[in-house]
Amino acid sequence: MKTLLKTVRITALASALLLPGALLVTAPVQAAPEKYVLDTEGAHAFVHFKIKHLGFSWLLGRFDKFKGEFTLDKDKIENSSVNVEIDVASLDTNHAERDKHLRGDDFFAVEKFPKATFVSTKAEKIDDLTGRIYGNLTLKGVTKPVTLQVAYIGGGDDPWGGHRQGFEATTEIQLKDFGIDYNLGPSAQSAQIYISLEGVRQ
Amino acid sequence: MQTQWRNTTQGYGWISIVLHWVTLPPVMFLLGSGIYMVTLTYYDPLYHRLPHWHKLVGVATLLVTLLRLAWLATNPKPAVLALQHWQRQAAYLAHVTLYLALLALAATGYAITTAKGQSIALLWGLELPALGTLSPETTTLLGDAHRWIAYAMGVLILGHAGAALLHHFHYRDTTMKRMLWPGCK
Repeated sequence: MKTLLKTVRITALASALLLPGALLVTAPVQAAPEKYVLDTEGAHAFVHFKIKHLGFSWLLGRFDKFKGEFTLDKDKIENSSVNVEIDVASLDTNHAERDKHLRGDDFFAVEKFPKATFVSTKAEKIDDLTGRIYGNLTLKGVTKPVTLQVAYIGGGDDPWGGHRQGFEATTEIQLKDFGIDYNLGPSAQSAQIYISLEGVRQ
Repeated sequence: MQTQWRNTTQGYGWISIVLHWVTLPPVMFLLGSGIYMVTLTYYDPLYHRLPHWHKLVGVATLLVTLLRLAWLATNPKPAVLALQHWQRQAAYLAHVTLYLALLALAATGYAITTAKGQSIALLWGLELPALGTLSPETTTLLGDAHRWIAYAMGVLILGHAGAALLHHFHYRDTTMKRMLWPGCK
């Protein structure tokens, strides 16, 4: 009886000491997906486009106004997602008449379709610094799937108490896919989109 | 007899008459080119040329209009021929509106083409610089204003010409004649 009680006491003590340790060892390390908001307030996010002019040069433009957020799961990239909403009328190609034309019915028809959105459906890791994001782009009222090639630039704590992560992404779209069929010539059937963004962790 | 350059209380002098008619062809060109040039697309040869001429003629028309207004301000006003009060009112309103429309078209046209700070290329290397920049919303608004004021002015010009013909063929007074040569009684 005395030995039994001693055994029980030792077992209880051992369990009390080891169980938490066991839990520490066996429980998987869960990094919860973290939510980031694009730093548009500090303008550390850019949405640019590029299209050929007559096949002679690249025309560059950007969307000045947009907002968005992304969810990043550092340990399981597949759990990450991103969505962005663009104010199409804020396009800027540094030319008053061209910008007016682009805002009009011949191109983006911003009065009818003021917003363009991208909502991701799947994220894929290629290696530690690159990946792919699949999602739906809605532009001029048409929704089509697009794939973004993503590169991780860097991240960490900033000097002002925040935590940031930055990426760049590219994709190419066919203008006709989104109802833009103004004849810009054979070399301007598609446009490249370049996104550089930095998000602040919430 | 001395050539009547200036206006008198009896009628218009040559300068007023010439300034009046010289404005007509440019305004017709501006209306026509304005309506037509916005239908042109990338591969039309006049896609860039027509807007360029439109702006040049626009600036020239503005200068002539300012000259006319200065001449108006420094000349006697010919007596109104209309007998009825409503006719005087209508004539006055129509003429003031035509001047205002011309100035408003020049202002809105200038604004939309310089909205991003670009100057307007004139002739001989001269440029008309921008005064500031405008937001896309304001640019679109002024662009629509430019269009609708132009249409309204087109209608008003037709009314103006119609009224002149009415005075000539129906009322049989010298309203139209005195805008053709000085000294009609």
